[in-house]
Amino acid sequence: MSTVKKKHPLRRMVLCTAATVSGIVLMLALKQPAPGTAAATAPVQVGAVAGSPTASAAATGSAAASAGSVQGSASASAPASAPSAAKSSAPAAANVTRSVTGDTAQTQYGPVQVEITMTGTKITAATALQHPTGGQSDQINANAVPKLNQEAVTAQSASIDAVSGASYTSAGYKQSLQSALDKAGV
Amino acid sequence: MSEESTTRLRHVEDAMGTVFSFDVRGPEAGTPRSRAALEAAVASLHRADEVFSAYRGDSQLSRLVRGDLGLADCDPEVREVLALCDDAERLTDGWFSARYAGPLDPTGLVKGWAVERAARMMASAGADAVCLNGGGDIQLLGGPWRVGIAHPLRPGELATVVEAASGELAIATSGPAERGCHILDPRTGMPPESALASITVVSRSLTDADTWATAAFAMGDRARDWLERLPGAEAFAVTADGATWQTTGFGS
Repeated sequence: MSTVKKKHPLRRMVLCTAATVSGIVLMLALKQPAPGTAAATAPVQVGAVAGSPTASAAATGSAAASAGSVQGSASASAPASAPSAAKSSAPAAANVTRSVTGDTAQTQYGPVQVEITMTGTKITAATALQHPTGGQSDQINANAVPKLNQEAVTAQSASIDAVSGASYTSAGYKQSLQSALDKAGV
Repeated sequence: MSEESTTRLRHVEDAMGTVFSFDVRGPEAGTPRSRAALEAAVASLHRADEVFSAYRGDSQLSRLVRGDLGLADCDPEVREVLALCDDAERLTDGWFSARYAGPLDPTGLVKGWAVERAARMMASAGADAVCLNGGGDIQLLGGPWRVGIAHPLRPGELATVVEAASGELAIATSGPAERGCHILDPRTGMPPESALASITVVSRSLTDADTWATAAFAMGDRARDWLERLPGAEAFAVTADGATWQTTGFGS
């Protein structure tokens, strides 16, 4: 291959990383909109956000400033009753709390269904409504369910708009993070 | 199903065997013009399926492959897509090919191409910001947007988050099931075992990012050098053992 040094037509991209297990934030500020695209807003320089901490005790507490005190609530929530899936088409008012129920996902341990609690536009808790019970799956799931809660919350506490991943089919979509974001509808 | 406010239009559509998630923002997002653009964009996805589906015997592509239809009698978009496949094959040194399994199959390019086309339709109707996710591959126009990259080894987790402030950005992530890799390991008859669990390519156009991510995944260990030299692309990868790497311009 040629040894010509790589050109950087994307040289205007400004990228920052902060490495953690579950969140590395990159900032891409493309200063020039291409012709024909939507009117560009002024580039928004978001302050560097350290990745969302995992459930590990070693995680620092200063990260995920925009998410508030998300971690503490995840393990404390425990609704056993049927969810109220309130889905509104109006923008959510701040501090209004509502619940959204995700589709049931078939995991290797059995069906799992997650209910997400939102306060305003932030997911503040995620709880498994259905999870496999009985036998070995109980033991496996004792670890799996809290992690699922933390991960679902962690993904949303990064305040993401969409998720890119290896191609999913319509069936695979139902178990995807993108489907949870679409369902939350904000 | 669609959800609208006056400044935001969201829609989820089943098409091409996958799901397309539209997210459109701007003061015009709730207007009839914007909704009409959404209908047209959705129709364009179904149209792409009708024309290019390798699973439908009556698609123009299937008929073309069988010899029942000449290229000159196909819609112009067929010639456009096949020309883009040729470009992609050249740029990827053959690691992406529309002939990866023998008969012509451009579907590895069609999805990204269709997403980009539909997203630009929404932008041209006056949206400030468009995010269209077609089965995991995303075209962004305007912004700001924050896009998580799904961790290939830890379901439910993100490996990284990409932020786009404005302009155009495409994000395509490839894993083991991508279509378009024709390089088969002669020992197994399958694509080469890759050291990569997933690779994400970022560029301006999803048509490019999609094929480059497919090619890069197939390349395995060669991908990093290739992507480092490829103009207009940056990349982030998760290896099979959970480590990550990225091209020089992807992080600082």
